[in-house]
Amino acid sequence: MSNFRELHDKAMSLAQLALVAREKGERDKAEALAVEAYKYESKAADLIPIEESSEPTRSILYSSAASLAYQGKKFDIALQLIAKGLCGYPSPQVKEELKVLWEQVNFEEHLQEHDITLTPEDLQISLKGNVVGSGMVFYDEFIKRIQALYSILSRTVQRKMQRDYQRSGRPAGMYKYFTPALSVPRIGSFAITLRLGLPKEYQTTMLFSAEDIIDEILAGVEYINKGDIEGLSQLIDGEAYYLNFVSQARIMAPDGENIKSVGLSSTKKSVGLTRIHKDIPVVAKPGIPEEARLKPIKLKGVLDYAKSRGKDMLGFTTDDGRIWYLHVREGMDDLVRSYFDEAVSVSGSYDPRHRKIYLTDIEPAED
Amino acid sequence: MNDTLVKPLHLKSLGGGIPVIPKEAAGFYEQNCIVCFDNQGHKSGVRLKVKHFDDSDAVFQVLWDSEVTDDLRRAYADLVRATDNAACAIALLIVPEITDFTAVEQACRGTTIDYYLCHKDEINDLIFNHSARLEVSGILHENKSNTVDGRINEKVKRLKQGLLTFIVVVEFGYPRSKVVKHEQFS
Repeated sequence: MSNFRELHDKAMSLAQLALVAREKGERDKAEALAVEAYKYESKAADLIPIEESSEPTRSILYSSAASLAYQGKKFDIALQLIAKGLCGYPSPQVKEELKVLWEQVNFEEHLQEHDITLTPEDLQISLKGNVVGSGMVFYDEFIKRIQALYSILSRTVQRKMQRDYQRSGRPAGMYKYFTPALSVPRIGSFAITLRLGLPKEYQTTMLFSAEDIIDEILAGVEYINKGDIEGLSQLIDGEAYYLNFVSQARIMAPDGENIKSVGLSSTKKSVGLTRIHKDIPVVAKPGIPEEARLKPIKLKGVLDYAKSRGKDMLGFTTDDGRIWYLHVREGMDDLVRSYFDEAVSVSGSYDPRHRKIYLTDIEPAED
Repeated sequence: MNDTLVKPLHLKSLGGGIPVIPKEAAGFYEQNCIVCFDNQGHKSGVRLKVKHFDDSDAVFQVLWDSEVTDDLRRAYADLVRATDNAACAIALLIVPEITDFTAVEQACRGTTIDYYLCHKDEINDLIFNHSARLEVSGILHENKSNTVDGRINEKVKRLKQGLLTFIVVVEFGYPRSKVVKHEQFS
């Protein structure tokens, strides 16, 4: 066996043990093992010459080494290893993976630089982009994302309590155990922390903790960022809850200009939401048949509450004055509500027989 | 069609011969598998039917020695995670049985882990230059909205240009597995 194979195999053994430690909740051990693993993997990568014929082996090895350094919280080293990988001749696929990893490492490094310490009940949201200054952010860009995050938090609690999806009205008091509290904004990017407080009287009766809720949200956002519909579908039971999660994550997602990245962090991990909102389709849960026989349609206009027919059928007035009716599926109600009386672009399937549009997506109208 | 030969698949063998699983981690994967099979009412010796990418079937008899205790069930109470881990273990065991590849690299990407495969007899240092990818998905119990074929389709949709990819979906209810080979050219 070559020296290279010994180094690589050792790295993989340690990486696997790190993964098992992480699964068992042994975070410190997992980090230490990941650090050991990256050292072996980067040594193995260094043995491969920088030439086209070395690819994709060389860049895959650096990507692996960087990922392990990142898991071990060695962010500077992770960035160096990513740069080494990019310096060669990576395939488009590996190049993209290295770039995504670069974003994630940068975000984590930012938290570390500003000495932000989170507790297990904390969920931090961080915004970066052209409308973010030193501890400042455009109000509209911030408020819609924090509202979306709050909606995800509330719905996740209700879902974990196995409550049927509540479409309208205020949730009953018993489902409002967690009282999010906001911290002051942090400089650098705009970052605030939501602390999920649980009143003492509920602490012994809850079957899940704030940490469980945060874990679940981060896992869901991670699936959204990867476009892993199947993973998200497995995580979230119930069509309405699933759809609500996707639609709210879409509101939180960056637009690519004003907000370029949105980060969510807990004590356990950080998830960068880098997919722009246009690339996150609000589609039904896999396995649910779509309205296949209907015609796809996209229109611009204003959501008109006054023209609505009950909670399922909302009025929608296009720029030429025509009134349409939007059928809003369970789960999309929070998303639609956030756009009342605003100029929006809606997509869906048009049913000419009943003259209604089954809404699949909604976004602010472009000027 | 070769659907009569039943090959033993001992979960203990996770600890030897698969480069990405060191001996010390084998027990963890074995336990995840046992908990998932047990949750679906199966015992050691259960037959796992594998639908091969060349349209043939293979049948494996899955064997384990450990007892399933309440402590073990509690330790792996998160069945979503357990199913993912168990599916990875089963996939890593069956891939060398039905292909010329074995897993040499795990690639952590967020919540999911994919693997790089290389030829079992690869001796060159450029191990990934003729490699393939392995994408794994697990289902504890198939139902109308969560099927093996549905999972395969979702995976295929998300594949990017690049390497030859094997997709393995493992279902623990029946139990069965499907292996799809996807050739891609950049």
